[in-house]
Amino acid sequence: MRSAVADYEVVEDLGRGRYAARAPARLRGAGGGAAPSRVTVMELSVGSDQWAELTSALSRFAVVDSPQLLRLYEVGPDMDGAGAGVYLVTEEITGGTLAHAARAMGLREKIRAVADAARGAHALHESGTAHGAIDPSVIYMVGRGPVLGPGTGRHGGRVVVMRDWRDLSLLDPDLLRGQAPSRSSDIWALAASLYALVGPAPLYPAMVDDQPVTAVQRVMFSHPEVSPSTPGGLADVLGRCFDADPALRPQTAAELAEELLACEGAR
Amino acid sequence: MIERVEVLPGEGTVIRYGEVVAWAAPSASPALISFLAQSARNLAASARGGRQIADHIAGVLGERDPEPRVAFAVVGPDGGGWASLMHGPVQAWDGNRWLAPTPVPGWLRESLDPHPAVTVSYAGSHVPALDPDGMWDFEGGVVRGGGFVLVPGSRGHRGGPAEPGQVESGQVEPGLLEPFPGGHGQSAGATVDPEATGILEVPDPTSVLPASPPTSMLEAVGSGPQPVSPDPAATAGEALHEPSGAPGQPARPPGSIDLARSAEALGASSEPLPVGVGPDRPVAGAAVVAGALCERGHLNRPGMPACVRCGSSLPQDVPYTVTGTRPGLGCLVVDDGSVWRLDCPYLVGSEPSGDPTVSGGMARPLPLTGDGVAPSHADITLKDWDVQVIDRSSANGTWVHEPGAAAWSRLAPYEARTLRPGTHIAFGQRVVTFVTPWVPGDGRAH
Repeated sequence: MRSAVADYEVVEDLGRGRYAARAPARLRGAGGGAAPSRVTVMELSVGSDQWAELTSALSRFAVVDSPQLLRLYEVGPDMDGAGAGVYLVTEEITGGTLAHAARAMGLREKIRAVADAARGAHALHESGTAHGAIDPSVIYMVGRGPVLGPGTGRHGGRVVVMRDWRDLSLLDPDLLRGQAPSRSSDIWALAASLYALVGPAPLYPAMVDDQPVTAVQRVMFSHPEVSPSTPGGLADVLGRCFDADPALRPQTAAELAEELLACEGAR
Repeated sequence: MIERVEVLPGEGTVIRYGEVVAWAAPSASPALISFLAQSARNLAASARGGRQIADHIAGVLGERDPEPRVAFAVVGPDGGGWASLMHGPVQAWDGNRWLAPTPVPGWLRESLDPHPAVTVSYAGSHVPALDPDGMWDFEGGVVRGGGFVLVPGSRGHRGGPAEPGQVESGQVEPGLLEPFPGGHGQSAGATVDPEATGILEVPDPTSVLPASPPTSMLEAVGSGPQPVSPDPAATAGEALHEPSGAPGQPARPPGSIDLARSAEALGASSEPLPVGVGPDRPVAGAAVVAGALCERGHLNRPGMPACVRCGSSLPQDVPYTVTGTRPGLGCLVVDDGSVWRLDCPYLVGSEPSGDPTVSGGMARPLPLTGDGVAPSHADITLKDWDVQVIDRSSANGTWVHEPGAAAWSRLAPYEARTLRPGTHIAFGQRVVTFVTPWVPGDGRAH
């Protein structure tokens, strides 16, 4: 385990390149408030070409004041890390992410977590920013509940970095068609994130062992299938989020949050 | 503001979009005409569109002149005046003086003061008298012609803030200026007027620009790890790169950014994202193309059998008179699994961010590391509904493998090759594949 990242004293390895750390005295709280005593430090793999874009995106994220958004404190070059990367300091993440939660979560908790993330996304949209990289791994569990964190690997026109075809199933096909992230593409991603967690079958059943180019073509030209047996009464609201016409999806992420919370599975 | 534009008889191509007018001689390459047309189209609403194009061309010509004997000229607004760039055997008469490039360097960037008009034509050609009735007026597009007469409106241009729908000089989005054909590398030999760096303006020039006047575009915009960006968020972040902390506090690590302070520097946020609209919403300054509208209002490429977005059928064999903001043209799938959306040009290379095309905001970087990839290897450009790749005379070349082809073929330097859906492109040892939904005829990529 690393003992320090920059001048943050590491106290616990949280896995996946994240550490619990003591905050140095210079750190200020959000909005000039009290400094936190513990923070989370993340290792990011970012090329030098992406530095300006990354800091720009993080600054845009940090300016939005919402209880459903992860608070960001500092970003800097990680001189001592294994690679030529970047460290990002955030408020303390106590419970992992929706993709890898520290404890088991039931259907109700998952729906409410995505609803909270949708409210965070709505706050971003209202400030003029589309997230563009929503998936379960950027929905964090902090002391006050689930929050949406920033995407850190999709800047400057990069839509996604595929590890396997499942990464594509979270993307609005409009992004692969070349469109910029928008309210409607974030709404798609929120719904796809929830479906990936609770759906009984993949959104694209035929896409299993595809090569990257084949997978991109399949998502670009096919339509996702929401199983009618999706639990919690979610099939209808999630199905609308995947409408080919963005105008027929929920119009705002806040609207999606309300619809999710109205489903029987959220009660 | 232009009152009218008169096209002169003769050979060549006249281009007008909004306030930007250009002419090119018959010997101009299709790539050059395409560049002029796309740039004029993209900057049609800009209050300083003329200066932006002229600066861009001047920067490239300072390094290399891909078509040294070709006559062309571009005239457009520069705040309250008019900017021009003339190249090769071309002349301009503004009512008071003749302007023509000298043999060396073969081009001229000059402000114009038309009284009552400016006439641009091939060097040595007759300049006709101004039409007293003012009945000829070329409102926009690309047509044949031997030159043009631009008659400014009586109001002229106004300095200060741009009007709604106009693009301010410091707000040029990537892709508004098409890459100049054959342009590459640093424009080390170009002299850039310090006042003429409009597309590269930053809030506090003294913190970025050198103390002495810049001698090149690269120097003007700064180089190194912090390329100038019109993005206020990026600028706010850069302004906080100083290593020392607030008084009485320990210093922050070098290079780190206090995001809380950065957020405060950004201040009030921008307008909310639009609600209830799809990706076809008009975008100021974005490229405009002709196409077909589906019943739900999505703009499609002519020849598509069905809307790529919603699947509704599209009218066939009808004139495509509808124009709108060009949608994305698909994506590039890199062999490392990364996918890049095609909504603006890219510069592919091992160090693309150091190139003026990227630092000047005219293209995004698409960094590829690996054997045989040059620092600035090739341009990916968008032309109407097509995507093109242009090799920058890289040592190892740019190779394409089109669907159904038996072998790879190497592009000639600066050859613009239109990509067919499914084409693989090799930059050194790295391979990128072009995937697009815009496949006229069958509606499916290959």
